[in-house]
Amino acid sequence: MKKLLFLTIVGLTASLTFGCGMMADKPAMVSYDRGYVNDSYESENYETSAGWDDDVEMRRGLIAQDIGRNGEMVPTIGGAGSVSESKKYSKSKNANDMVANKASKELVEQSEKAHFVSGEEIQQKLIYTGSFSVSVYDVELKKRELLAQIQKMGGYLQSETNTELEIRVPAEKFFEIVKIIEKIGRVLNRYVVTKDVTEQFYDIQKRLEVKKEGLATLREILKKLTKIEDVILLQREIRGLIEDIETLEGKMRVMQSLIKHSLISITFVLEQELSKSTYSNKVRLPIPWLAQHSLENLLGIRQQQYQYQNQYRK
Amino acid sequence: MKRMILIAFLFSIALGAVSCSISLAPPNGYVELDDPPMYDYVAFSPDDVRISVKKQENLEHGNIDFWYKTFMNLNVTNRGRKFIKDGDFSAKNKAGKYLVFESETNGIVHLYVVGVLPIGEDKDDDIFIIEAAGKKEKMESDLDAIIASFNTLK
Repeated sequence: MKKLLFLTIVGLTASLTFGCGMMADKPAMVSYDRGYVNDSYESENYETSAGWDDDVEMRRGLIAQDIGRNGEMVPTIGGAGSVSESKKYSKSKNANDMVANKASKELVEQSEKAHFVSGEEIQQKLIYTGSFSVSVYDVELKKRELLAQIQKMGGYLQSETNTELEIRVPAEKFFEIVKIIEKIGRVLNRYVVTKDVTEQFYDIQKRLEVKKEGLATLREILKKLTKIEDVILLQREIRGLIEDIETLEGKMRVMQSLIKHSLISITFVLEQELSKSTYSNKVRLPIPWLAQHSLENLLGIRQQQYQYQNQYRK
Repeated sequence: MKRMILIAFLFSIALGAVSCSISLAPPNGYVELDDPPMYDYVAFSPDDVRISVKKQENLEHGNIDFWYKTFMNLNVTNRGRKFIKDGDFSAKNKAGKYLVFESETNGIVHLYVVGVLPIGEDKDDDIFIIEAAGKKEKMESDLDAIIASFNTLK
């Protein structure tokens, strides 16, 4: 009877202590560890440690070894408190189950939370690009008609030559506009590329965050400096960091613009000239990005200049 | 205090090392375009001669001869440009080839240079496409310097 009473008290104490351990922050956990070791466990080893952290680390190892010796598998969540808790409860099957249940519940909660966080934060970022070659009977007329339709849908003209149009269209209407282009004449070439820039986008965003945090830290340090040469040195570093941040912000803006407005280039070919052309002799390789590399594309990057000018003005 | 400065300095160096970008040393008198869309790098002269670099995935794992012939076909057979000359360059410890073409539209003659530099092995293949274009009379004098700048690709 006395033995049963003793076990119940031990169980209750352990359960209360366990609860504290789970909720406590680091200092609380340390005091709990010290108390536990002093009261009932391996005090000779505890005495040898001089440092606070070393002490805790040593006891973690010690307890882990003991768990190994006893051959009992106890789920742990991590941290000094949990390992100690595991050891303590290894003496009682009920307590063991309790730890196991609590630990697995916690792990499930953690994984659900992580999934939820990742699901909420990561949004796919796509850049749509299209390139079409369309054969029509009246190039000028078809160009005007197409442009009028695209402007109605929120698109705009980026550049224009006698036979080519480069337009930017809202990304959400990209495929709708592709269908319209395909109906204006006979499609000779069609390249639609979807580029997933999610990783790049969040990489830039993260780098931006890190650099901004770094800037804030440097500014804090700057406030504490007194020597003029230290101040100058740090200000130079801060300037460099500001430039990096501006560059990344610029990249972010450009990427956001490309994500928001897709680029479509359309080349018009006069239908009656088609038979005379060397179309049938053309090499058509299944490499979509090849179409991007042309003299016309390189010389037609007017939009870049506007963006550059706008950024420069800011 | 010195220790603090050193930490701050190392911290900023570490931050700087996070970012890496594609660039080359353009001929004297050229300026670089900040954040060019569609390209990884663009520089231009006061005469509107432009140099660009774009890294593409070499999913086909084509070697340098494949890409040389592809760009030759693309420009001569498909686009009707006149082939002027070709040659070799090297960057990133890899061998590249360049091709020079001439193109006339509405009486205006342009020069167009395209350099191909496949790098990487097996599944990590990439190819750098370096292009330069401009009006012939403005670009001719810079041509050698432009081609030489291909060797400075980083």
